[in-house]
Amino acid sequence: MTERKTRTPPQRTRSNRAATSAKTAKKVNGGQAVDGSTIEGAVSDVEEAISDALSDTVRLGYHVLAQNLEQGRVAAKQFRVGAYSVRNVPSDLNELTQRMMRLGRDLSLTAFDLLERVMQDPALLDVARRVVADIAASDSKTTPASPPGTQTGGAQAAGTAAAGARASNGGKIPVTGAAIMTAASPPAPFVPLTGTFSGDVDGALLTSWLMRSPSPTTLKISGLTTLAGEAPAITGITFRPSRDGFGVVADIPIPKGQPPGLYSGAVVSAETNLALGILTIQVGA
Amino acid sequence: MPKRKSTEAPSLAAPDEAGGERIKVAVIGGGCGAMAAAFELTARKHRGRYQVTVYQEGWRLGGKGASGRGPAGRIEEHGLHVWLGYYDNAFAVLRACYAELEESKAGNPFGPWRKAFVAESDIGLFSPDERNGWQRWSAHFPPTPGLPGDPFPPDELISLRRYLARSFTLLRTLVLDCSVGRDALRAAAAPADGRERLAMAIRGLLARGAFVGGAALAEALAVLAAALDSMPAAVDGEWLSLAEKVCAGARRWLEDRLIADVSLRHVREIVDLGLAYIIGVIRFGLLTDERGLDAIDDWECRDWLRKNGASWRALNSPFVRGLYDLALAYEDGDPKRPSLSAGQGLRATLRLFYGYRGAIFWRMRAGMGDVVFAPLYEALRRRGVEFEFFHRLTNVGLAPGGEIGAGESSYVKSLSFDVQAKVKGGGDYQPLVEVAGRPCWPSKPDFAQLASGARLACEGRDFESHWDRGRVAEKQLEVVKEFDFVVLGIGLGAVPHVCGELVARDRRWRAMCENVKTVATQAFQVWLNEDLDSLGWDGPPYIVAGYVKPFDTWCDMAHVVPEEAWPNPPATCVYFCGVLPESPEADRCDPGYPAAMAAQVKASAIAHLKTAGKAVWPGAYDSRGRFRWSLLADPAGGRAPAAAGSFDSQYWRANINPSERYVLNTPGSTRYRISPLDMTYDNLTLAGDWTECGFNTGCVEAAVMSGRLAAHALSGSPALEEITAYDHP
Repeated sequence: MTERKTRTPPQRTRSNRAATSAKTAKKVNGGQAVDGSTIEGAVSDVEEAISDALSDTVRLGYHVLAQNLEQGRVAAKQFRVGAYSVRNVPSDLNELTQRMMRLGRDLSLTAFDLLERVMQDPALLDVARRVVADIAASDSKTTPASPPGTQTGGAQAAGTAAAGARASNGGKIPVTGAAIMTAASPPAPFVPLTGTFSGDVDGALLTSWLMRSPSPTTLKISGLTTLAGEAPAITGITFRPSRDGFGVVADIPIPKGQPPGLYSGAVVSAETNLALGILTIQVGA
Repeated sequence: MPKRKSTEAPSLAAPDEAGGERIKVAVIGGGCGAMAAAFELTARKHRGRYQVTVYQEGWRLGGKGASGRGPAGRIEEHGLHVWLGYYDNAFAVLRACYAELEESKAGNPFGPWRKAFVAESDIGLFSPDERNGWQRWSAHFPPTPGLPGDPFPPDELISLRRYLARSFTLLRTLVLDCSVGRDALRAAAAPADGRERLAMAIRGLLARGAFVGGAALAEALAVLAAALDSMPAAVDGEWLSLAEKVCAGARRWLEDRLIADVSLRHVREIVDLGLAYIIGVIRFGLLTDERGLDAIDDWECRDWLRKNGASWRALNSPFVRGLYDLALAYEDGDPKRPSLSAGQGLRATLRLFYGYRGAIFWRMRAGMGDVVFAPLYEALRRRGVEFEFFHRLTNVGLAPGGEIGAGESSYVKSLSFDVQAKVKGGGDYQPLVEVAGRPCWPSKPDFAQLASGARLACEGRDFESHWDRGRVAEKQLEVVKEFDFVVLGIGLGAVPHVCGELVARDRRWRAMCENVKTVATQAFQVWLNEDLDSLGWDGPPYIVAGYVKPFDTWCDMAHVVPEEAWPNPPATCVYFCGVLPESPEADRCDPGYPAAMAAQVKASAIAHLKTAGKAVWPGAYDSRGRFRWSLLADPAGGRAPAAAGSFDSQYWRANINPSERYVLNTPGSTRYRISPLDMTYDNLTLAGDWTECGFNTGCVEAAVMSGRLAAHALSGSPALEEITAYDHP
C-alpha cells in the first residue's frame, strides 16, 4: 500500500519583519553595525554624507534667498515707476513686507544649533562650518543678493514696497497689527479665508488668509469701500467657521446696482480690536 | 454572440522527469492565490513532480477577480480592478506566464504582457467644498525606473530606516520648494475666470515670499535623511529625539506657509500625515521592533496617526478617505465605520508611494478574466494541469479525532464536492470564448456543452450562487488515492460553509473565521454614447476615489471598449464600485436574498446616476438637471428609452456570495490569520488574501504572495527570499 505523503516543515512559518532592518544596517551602514563591530572608513563616510547634504542645502537656501530679494527689488521698482496697478496689489502686502524684512534672519540662527545636536562631534561640526563659510564666500562674489547684504537689501526693498502701496491707495489701506517675527519667536499663525457671495452682481475674493484670532466667530468688519471712496460701502458681511473645520468663510452680500470695482475693509477681532487682515473683493467684471 | 473557443488538447508533462513518483495536488478554487500556487508547482524546475488538478465551482476561474463577456462581448466585472505598481509578485507570475506563452510553439493569442496593462500615473480625489459641491484634487505620481515584477538588485532591501530617510528627503523638497505639484494641482482646478486666476497669482506671489525661513529646516531635514542611511544604530535614541523635535518644527513651519494658500491645502494635509507617520515610527520604536509594523496592528490607522499629531482635517482629507475607499475598509459596509489596522495600513501606504515601479497604477487592457485568468488557464493547460469545473467543495474531511489543540497535528483525509453539472460525453469542459480575436471567459456557462444543458438553462441555474445548491452528483476524493496534498484556495467567506469539519474541530480556524472580517461589495457599469470629455469631465481618465457614496470609486474605462464586440461601439464605459451595507446574517439565509440585494444595487446605481455625476459630468444632465438616460448604449442595438428603465440594459451586481466577499484587515486581526506555511495539517496548505502572507489585506498581490507561499509549503520553492516583501517590516 502507498504511504501517505507529508509536507516537509518549512524553515520558518512567519515573516521575518526584523531581518530587513538588520541587513540594511549591515549593508548600507558606513559605521557601526548592529552587532557592535566597527567598519573601517565609517567616520569619513558620515562626514562626507553630511558635508554633501550641507553643501547642497545651504546653496539652495541662499539661491532662494537671492530670488526673493530680487523679487522684492523688482516689485519696488514697479511701484516707483507706476507700472504696478493697484488692482494687482494684494491687500496682504503688509505680510509680504514683513517677510521681506526678515529675510535671512533665521538662516543662521537655528540651523547650526540643530546641526550641533545632530552631529555631536566637534570635528564634523568644523567641517560643516567650513562648508557653509566657503559657500557663503563663494556666493557673495557671484550673486548680488548674497547673505552679507541680505538684511539691508530686504528691508530697503520691503520698505519701499510698503511705501509704494500706501502712496498708491491714498493712505486708505489700513495695515495689520502683526508683529515682526524674529527667528526665535514662533511663526504667526494664519487661517485661510474663503468667501461666498449673494446678490445679483458677481464678486471675487482677492484675500486668501487672515491672521488667526483666538475666537474666529467674533470677527467683524464695518464695511467694504472702494479705494477712492466714491461708491456706497458694502455692509452686512458676516463670518463663520468653515464647514470642514479649518479656516473662515466670509458671507458677502452685494447689493443690486453696486458699481464694479475693488472694495476693501479691515477685519478686526471684536474682542481686542486687533486688525487681522484686509478683506478685498472685486465686484463685477 | 461570442464564438466558443476550443482549447487544444494539453500536451501533458512527462511524469516526474526525475524518475520519482508524482505528487498529486488538489487545488481548490481558481482565484489569484490558487492559480499562483498551481503556476509555481508546475514550474519547469520541478520537472513534472507535481500533478495538479484544479477544482472550481461553476464555469470560470478568477474568484473575486473573475470577469465575463456578456452581450455584445462587453466586459462584465466584479468591480473596478487596478493593479498597483508594487505588485511585484503578481506581475512576476503573470509576466512569466506571458513569456511562456510567447515561447510556446502553440502560439500566444494574448500578445505581450506589456500591452495587456496600461500605465496610469494620476489619481483623482474629491472632497466636499464650501458650496455643497465637490472639489477635485488630482495627484500625479511620476514614473520611476523599472517595471513591476522586475528582479530587484541584490542589495535592494526594504527597511523602515530607508522609508524614513525618503520621507525626510520629501519633506526637505517641500520646504525648499512649496510649489511642488502646484502646477499640476492648479491645472486641474484652474477656472476660466480671470479674477480667480488673479487671485491665484497673488497667492503664488505670497507663497514665494516664504521660502527663506525654511532654509534652516531644510538643512536639518537633509542631515537627518543622510544620517539615517549613515549613522550607526547605536545613536538612535538621541538622534530620534532630535528628529521628533525637527518634525514638530517642520509641522509648524509648513502649516504657517501653506495655510495661506487654499490651493495647497492637500499638500499640507499630506505633509501633516507624513510627519505623523515619522513621529509615530519614532515614538513607537518601530525602527528596532522585531515585529516591524505588526507592532501597531492593534491600532486603527487613523487613531494611530491622530495619536502622533495628525490633524483632524488631515485625517478626514480626501487622501485618507481615498485610501480607505480603495481598500474598501469599512466594517459591515458601513461608511461610518472605517476600519484598517495601522500596521497594514502603513505598510500598504509605504509600498504604494515608495515601492512602485514604472507607474503607480496599472489598468488592464480588458477584463481581469481576459488579461489574467485566460492566459494563466492556457499556460497551465499546456503544462498539463487538469481543470474540473462545476465542482463545489462541501467539506474538507480530517483524520479521525476530536478537537485539534495547540501543537497537535492532523491531515486531510478526504475532499467532498457537489458536482453541479457534467459535460456531455464525459470530456473536458471548454470554458473560453473568442471575442475580438482573443480567448475570454463568458459571463454565463455554455449549457450546450453540459449534460441536460437545456434543462439546466431553463431552470436558470446560477452555478456561482451560494444559494443555488443544485447538483447532479456527489464526489469524494480520498487521500493517497486521488490526492496527496491540498491547496485550499477558496475565499475566506466560504470557509465556514464548506470547511465545516475544520472549523468545528480547530479552534484557530474558528477564531480566524470570527475575527478576520469580510465585507460585501457592489458595482455597476454603464456604457455611454458620448465620451466623458464631451460631457464636461475636465481631466484625464484617471481613477477616482473619495467621491459620493456608495459608489465612491469610479473610472472611465474607454480603453476597454475596442476589446468588446459592439456592432456600434459606445464612446466609453464607466465602472463604479464601493462597499455594500449588510443585512443581518439571518436574512442572508433567505433564498430571495440575492435578488433583493441585486435590486438594491440597481436602485442605488440609478439614484447615483441621477444626482452624483452633476459635479463632474454636467453634460450628462439636461437643462432641468435630469440624467440623460438616452446616453446609455444598449447592447441589443435598440435606441435607449429616455427613462430610467434604460438602465436595464447596463450591468450591475451585488458581491454577496461568501466566496466573493472582500477581505479586510481590521485592528488586531492579523494574529488570527493562519499562514500557508502552518504545519498543523501536514498535507494541507492555504492560498488567498485572507491568510497570513506578509501583506495581510485584500488584494491581488496578497493573494499571489499567499499562493507562492503555498507552493513553498509543498515544494520548498520559490524560496521565501524570492517572495518580494514577505519579510517587509
